[in-house]
Amino acid sequence: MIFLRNVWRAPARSLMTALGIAAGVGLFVAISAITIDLHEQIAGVANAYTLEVVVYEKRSTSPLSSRIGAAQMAELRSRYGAAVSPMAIGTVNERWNAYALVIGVPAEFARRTPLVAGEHYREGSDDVLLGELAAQKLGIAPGQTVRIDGRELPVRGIFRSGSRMLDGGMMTHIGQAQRMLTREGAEPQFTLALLRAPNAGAAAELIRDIGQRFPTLRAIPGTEFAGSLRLMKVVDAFITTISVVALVGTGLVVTNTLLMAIAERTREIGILMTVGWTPWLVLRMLLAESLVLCTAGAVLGNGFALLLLRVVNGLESVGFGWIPVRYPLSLAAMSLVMALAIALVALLWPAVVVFRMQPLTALRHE
Amino acid sequence: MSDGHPLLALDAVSRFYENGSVRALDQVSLRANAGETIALTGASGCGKSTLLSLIGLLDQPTAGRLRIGGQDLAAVARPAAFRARTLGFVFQFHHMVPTMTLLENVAAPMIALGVARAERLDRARAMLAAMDLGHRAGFLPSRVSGGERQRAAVARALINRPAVLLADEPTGNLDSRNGERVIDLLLAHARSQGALVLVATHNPDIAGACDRRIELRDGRLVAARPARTTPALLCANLDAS
Repeated sequence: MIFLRNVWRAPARSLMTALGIAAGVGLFVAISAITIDLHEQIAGVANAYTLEVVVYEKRSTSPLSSRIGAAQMAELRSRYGAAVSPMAIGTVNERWNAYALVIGVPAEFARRTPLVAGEHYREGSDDVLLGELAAQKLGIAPGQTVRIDGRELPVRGIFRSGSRMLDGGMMTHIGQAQRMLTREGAEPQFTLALLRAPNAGAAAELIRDIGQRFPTLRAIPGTEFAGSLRLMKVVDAFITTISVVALVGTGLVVTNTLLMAIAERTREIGILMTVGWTPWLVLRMLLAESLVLCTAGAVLGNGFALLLLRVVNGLESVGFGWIPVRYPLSLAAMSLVMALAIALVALLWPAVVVFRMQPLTALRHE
Repeated sequence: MSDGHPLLALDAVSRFYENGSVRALDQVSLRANAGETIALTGASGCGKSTLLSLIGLLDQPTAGRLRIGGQDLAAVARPAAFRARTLGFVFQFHHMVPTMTLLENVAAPMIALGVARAERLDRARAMLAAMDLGHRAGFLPSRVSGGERQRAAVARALINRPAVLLADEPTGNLDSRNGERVIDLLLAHARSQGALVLVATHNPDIAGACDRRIELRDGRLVAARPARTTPALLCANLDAS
């Protein structure tokens, strides 16, 4: 295992290189994990509530920044009847969660959410349903109260939606949610309207109908909900940028290490060329070293990512439930593949150096 | 390889540096046959190493023509493969790769020829054993003596059974006892393989052990003559080998 001995001959440098790769890979994995999780969480919410059709304000940049006035909501309800569920969504800054999600929905809609304790709230009451994660963190059981928006609210039940974002927040009737989420003096508004449809064909018909009758509103299938969020688009752009920077930086670290290795071992390479090795054979040896460093970096990077996610998850300012503490194995595999690709790309410049190297000059190198 | 022609033929070979102001070799012509041992002598800087570099395809001549086995070296398309197949090198400083064991160092030239791993290791072990280094095969160069390193370098030079063995001051860095042992082994094994040996040396004993002695002065070949004497000790060692 010559390449392992070569890696080990400068242990401090190899370790620093592996750590440099680990930092890049770890950053990439951690950010990707957060983004993937965010997509899954939002898609999970959409699936949990069978959002066949989501209606929001056309001029808003995404469904969550939409504002639908009371008059227009009334029109929707008069046309589509019980199929319409108005919704008010937002976050409130509480001591126990800086981004506690508040979802205001009619009691009938809330009944679709399974409870782990207590019972659902009644329409018009001040009662709330607390997410399981929030209840665990606060140590609250049904029958007790929770302080939100400066008021003590009775907790009627504890729900489990399967989405950490939802389960770290609360659910209440629309009027109460609007009070929490609307600035003082402003007219209470709705965020979205959700429409149920018996099948995909009916949903498509609803979307067409809304498009014709309500020119200021946009209706989309529930399956497109996560993708239509501006937040997700920004996050996707962010992760792409950070990933590119992290991976380019990682590639430069590996390239630098290989160039240093070549500079230090010029005479050895000259010896090998003298006894008949081609530049390709020399590069094969360097590639093995590069692969070892990148594989070690990828493994360390995944460990680093898991640690980073746990640390960030524990930060009060981030709000619990928003950061995943684990990620799919496919992401770890992808990070390994990317590290191996970096090992190859990082060899380009060293390859030029090796191909230009003359054996005699290399032999005389001091 | 010679087919009645000399194995090595140099015709008016010159190597100049600095736009011709430094004449490392000047109009050197030479013929040498397979199985011959030739000592290149002369003061430091007279052009011995340059001549070996040109024959070894490590450098190109400014003028003149070099042929090995009738093949014009200027027309060799793949110098690395040619070196691996046809040439063996022994340097003053052993030039072992420090992260390779002696076994791996000796096997390295066979990698260039695509020899299978098992065969490589078998042949390298046998060659090390022939150099009395069988017990050191798994050692890194830093863990063995200078004499053992140089014997390993000889083993590496001979492992592909080269037609031409080039040795540049092979004992220059060794004490006399180790030096004698190295040169004995080098000449004996090269002769047994029928290789042409060119040894650049300042050592008259080594020069005396060779079939022919060529003297260079300021890049010019000034004398080519049969070796005067063969020291008794070297003869005895060679016979024993």
